[in-house]
Amino acid sequence: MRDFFRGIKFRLILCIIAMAIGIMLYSLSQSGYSVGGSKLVNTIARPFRYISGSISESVVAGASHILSSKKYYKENLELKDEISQLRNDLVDYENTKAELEELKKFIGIKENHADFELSPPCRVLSYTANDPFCSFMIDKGSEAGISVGDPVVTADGLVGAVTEISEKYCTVRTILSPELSVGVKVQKKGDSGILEGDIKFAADGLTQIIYLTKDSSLKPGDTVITTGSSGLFPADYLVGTIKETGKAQSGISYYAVVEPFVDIRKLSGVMVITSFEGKGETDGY
Amino acid sequence: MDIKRLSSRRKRKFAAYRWGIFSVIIWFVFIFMTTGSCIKPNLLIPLALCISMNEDELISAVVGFICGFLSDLAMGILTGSGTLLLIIGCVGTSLLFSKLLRHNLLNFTVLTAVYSALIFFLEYFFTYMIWEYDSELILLTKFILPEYLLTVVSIAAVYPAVGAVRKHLTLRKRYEPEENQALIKE
Repeated sequence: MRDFFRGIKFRLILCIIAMAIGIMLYSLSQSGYSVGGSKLVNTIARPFRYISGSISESVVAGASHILSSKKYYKENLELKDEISQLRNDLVDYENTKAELEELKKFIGIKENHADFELSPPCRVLSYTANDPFCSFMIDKGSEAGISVGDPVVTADGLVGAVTEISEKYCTVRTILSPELSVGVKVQKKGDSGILEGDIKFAADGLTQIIYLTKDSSLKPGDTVITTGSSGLFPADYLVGTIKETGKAQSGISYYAVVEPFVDIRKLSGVMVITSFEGKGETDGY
Repeated sequence: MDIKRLSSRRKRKFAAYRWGIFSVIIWFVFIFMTTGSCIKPNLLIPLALCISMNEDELISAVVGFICGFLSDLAMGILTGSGTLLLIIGCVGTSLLFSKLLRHNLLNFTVLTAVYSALIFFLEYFFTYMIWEYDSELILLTKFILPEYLLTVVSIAAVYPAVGAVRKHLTLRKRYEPEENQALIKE
């Protein structure tokens, strides 16, 4: 054993350990930017991840058909009810739309979100292994005009924000994470709160609104949208629906469980909003 | 003299095949770890320790460095932290199996289980515990413990796989009667 500690091998091992410590200190100093070696590995891994991701998606889809037939039957019945409800709503909608079109001609209001500048469509390369909050990596980075803190969305709703970036890919923290806070309000009612994930709900793909007051009038089915007050997320972007409400453990405030419109655990593609009106006006990230 | 040269060339060829296959296994384990969002074992830990079991300390340190770096990338933790721990783990495994322990599944399982427990505890402590996450116990029971148990269970696949590669691609000394006769004649 003494020979080992005096030998050249031990000195070389110490050099390798020193290199690992160096990488660790360097990555600590990078605050949100990837280490050089990881860029190389992730670039090489990209085609393999495309293939493995596609295989995984088809296996999960196949297994889901077999295992979830009861669930699908129940969902089918619920959807039929929803469709008949929506047909009724559609009549109202068509009337309102015609009215709105007329109004638009006069007051010249832009289409919703005309201020958005979007990245090219991004493919989800991989989810972070065993992250309970489902953070993931996408195949576009700073080359596509994306920067740290940019909101990540799908056509259905808000997904999260970019937390780490390199030229060709970036990492996204989702709204299931307690480390991401988003100012939200309830559409039409105006009750506002902070959307922040919790481990209790993350496993089921849910998140929560915290710091609600006793007199807030939220109820299941209400639609949650962003307030845009922080300057980090655009205003009035869809987030999800209220599933249930309850009293916080502290007993002082109330919370509401939110079911995002997007199933964050099964994403295959997203978009990044690189610029929008009011971006960066208030810094509360 | 010719026999010796031929044997040495064959040995190098076998070693190159062996390390080629180990590299492919490490790479596909990394890809597997970054595919899908369900809970998966950290296969790189038992794989690195199992390879180190039969290698000298320096090679074990290099294996620990590569597997640790890939593990850090897959797990999304601070790059270098897992690398450092896996280098120490691999060198320790190499020393233990060369000087103290017999090469068998039981010893390897106990060593990997203890080492993985330490790694997962450190991950839990530095990633969640010190930041006082709400519902820490849920994190522990729903994510960290299943991940740990799956890692330990994965030894059942990793150990025979590495053993098979080693068995078929390691040139052992054999005493062939014909070769001995040829040597005597020379």
